[in-house]
Amino acid sequence: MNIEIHLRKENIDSDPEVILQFGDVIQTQKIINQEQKLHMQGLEHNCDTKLSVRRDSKELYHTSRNHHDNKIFVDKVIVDDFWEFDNSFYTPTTIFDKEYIDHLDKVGTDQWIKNTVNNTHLFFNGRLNWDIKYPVRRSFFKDVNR
Amino acid sequence: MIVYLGMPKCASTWLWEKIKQNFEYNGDKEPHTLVEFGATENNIVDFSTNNWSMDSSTAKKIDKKVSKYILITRDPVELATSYYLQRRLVGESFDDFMSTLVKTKLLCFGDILERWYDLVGKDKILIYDYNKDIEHKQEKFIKDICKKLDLKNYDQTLPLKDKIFQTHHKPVLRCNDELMKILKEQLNKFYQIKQG
Repeated sequence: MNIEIHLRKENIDSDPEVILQFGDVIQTQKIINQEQKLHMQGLEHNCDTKLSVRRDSKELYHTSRNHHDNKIFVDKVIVDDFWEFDNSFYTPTTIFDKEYIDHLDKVGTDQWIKNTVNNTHLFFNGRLNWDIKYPVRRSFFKDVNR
Repeated sequence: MIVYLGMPKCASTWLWEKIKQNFEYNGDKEPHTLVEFGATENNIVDFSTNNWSMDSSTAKKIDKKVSKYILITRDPVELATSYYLQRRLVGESFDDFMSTLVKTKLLCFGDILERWYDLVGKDKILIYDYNKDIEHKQEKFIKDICKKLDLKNYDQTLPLKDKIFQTHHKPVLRCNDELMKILKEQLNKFYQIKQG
């Protein structure tokens, strides 16, 4: 199975890294262009699996900011060359890293950060998680209630 | 094996009732095992109306066994109306319902056909349009599809018109312009791919 991730960064001042993970498959990629497509191809998918797009830029912890200067936006995720997830459909779950939470304790947080539960913007260190069920349609079609 | 890819609300039950006598199979019309477990329930026939949405790995796995796929489409708003009357949630507007059907691809016929042509090629996929090929031409349709499926006969006792004309007393619902634009784009894509 293939997964395509359409990303965008806020500015061209830096090339932040993201870590893609699908089950045991992990890829680290730099976001060089303002808009970029990342590909995970030939993935084994025979059980429910988490897809995550993660950011772990430690330099944030050497600043007094509570979010990254250069945000990364996940505009679209295409699963199995067909299903399209975005900020209006099957939005990911936001999970902050413990180090990031500890950092917020030091520098202070904001209400908009506290309110972030389902989100497609990586302004933090942590991950956006999608549950990719097997088969994929089970992720959002509730066949069990048919 | 014969696999009905979709769509729902396109007379699949009527078709199944007409031709099921040809198969040495006594199970459900819609076992749903391809889309729920990625596995065939039998090696003869599967008329689950959501087969269009099976994983690509499942499609590639079963393709060797499949002699024909059937894809029946219909005017998307009419299809959605029929579905809406049966499945809407309390307080759910037609626009909201349509929007969900678009996001979950059920009304994206262009994307669906593109995907299936990529997965299994075009030769084994029989395509019919409910409005043009079935609604007022049931007898012609059943003869044609039986011939293409290499079936000897169909149930002559089941009235041809009963199922089909139930749709005539349903309300005419409309969706917003943005959704209509997406549906038109999908239909154009569907016809271009089909003709191409």
